[in-house]
Amino acid sequence: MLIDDNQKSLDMLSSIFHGFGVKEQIKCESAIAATDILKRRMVDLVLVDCSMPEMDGYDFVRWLRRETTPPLRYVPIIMLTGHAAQSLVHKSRDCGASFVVAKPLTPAVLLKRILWLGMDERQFVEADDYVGPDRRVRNFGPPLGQPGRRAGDLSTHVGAASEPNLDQADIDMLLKPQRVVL
Amino acid sequence: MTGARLVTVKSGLARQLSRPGGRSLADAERLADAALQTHRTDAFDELGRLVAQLETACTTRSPEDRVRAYALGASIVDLAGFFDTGPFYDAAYSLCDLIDRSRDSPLWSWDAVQVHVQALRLLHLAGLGNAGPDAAGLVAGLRRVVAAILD
Repeated sequence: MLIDDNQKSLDMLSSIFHGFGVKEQIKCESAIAATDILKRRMVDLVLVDCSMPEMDGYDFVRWLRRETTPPLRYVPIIMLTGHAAQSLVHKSRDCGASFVVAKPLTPAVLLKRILWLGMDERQFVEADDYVGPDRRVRNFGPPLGQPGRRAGDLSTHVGAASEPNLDQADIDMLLKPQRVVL
Repeated sequence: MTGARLVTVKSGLARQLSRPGGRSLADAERLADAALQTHRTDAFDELGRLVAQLETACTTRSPEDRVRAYALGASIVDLAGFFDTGPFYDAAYSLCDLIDRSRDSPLWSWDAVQVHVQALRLLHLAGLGNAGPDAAGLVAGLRRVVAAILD
C-alpha cells in the first residue's frame, strides 16, 4: 500500500515498485482513504509520506498501531520524510513506524530497507505510550554500571568463580596450533 | 514504568520475500531506476511550477504566505528527493529549515526566503543535477544566510 497526497510522488513510488516486480499495489491519495481500505483488507507493506493534510503520516501510523487488530497492527511500515520539521522529530520517533526513510530516495536505498524489514526480527512493543517495533535495533546490553530494563538483561555483577581457574598448561593447549590428521 | 508487552511477529512481507522465484536484486534495482527516470521530465516541470508559486509568495508576502512557503518548499524537497538533484535539493532543504525555524519568531526574513527562491530558480534553469561547480558555492552561501539569521 502506497500513501501520498502528491499524485506525482505516488506515481513515482508506484513505478519504483513495479520495477521491483510488485504487481498488486493499492495507491491512496490520503491517509483517511487508506484507513477505510485497511478496515476491510490486509496488506504486506505500507509506505506512507509523513506530510499530508487532514491526517498526516504520523497519525496514520499511530492509528494503525493502536486502533487495528493483529496481524494488521504489526504490518511493516516505511515512513518517507522530506524535510524533517523540528516540531515533528518526537512525533516521528514515537509513532511506531518500522523504518523512517529520509529523502533523497533512490530505488536501491528503498530496496535495501525493504529487504532489511523482511529479515527484521525485532519484537513488537505494546505499552501505554508506544506501540511499534522495538526501537532498540541492536542489543549491546545495558550501559556500563546501570541495571538493564529488559527482562533478559544479565546482571553486571560478575560474581565469584564457581569452578577452578584453568592452569597455564590448559590455556597453552587451547592456543597451540595442531596438525589435523584426516 | 508501566508494563510493556513484547510480541514476536513473522510478517507477511518476510514470508513473501522468502518465497522462491521473483526478480534478482540487480534486475529489480535496474528496472526500478528505469521506471523512475520516465517521470524525470514531468517532475522537472512540476518543480519549476512550485518555484514559480514561491516567487509569487515572495511578492505578496502575506502572513498566510509564510505557511504556504513552507508547504511549497516541503513539496519541492519531496519531489526533488526522488532524483539526484544535488544542489537543488540542498537549496530547497535549506529553505525549509529557514522557514521552519523562524516562521513564528521575530527572526523571520522574507529577504532570506527570497534569496533561497532565486537560488532555486537559478539551479532549476541550469538543469537538475547539472548545475556546475558554482552550485556548491551557492548552497554554501544559502547556509551562511540561514546561520546569520538563526544563530
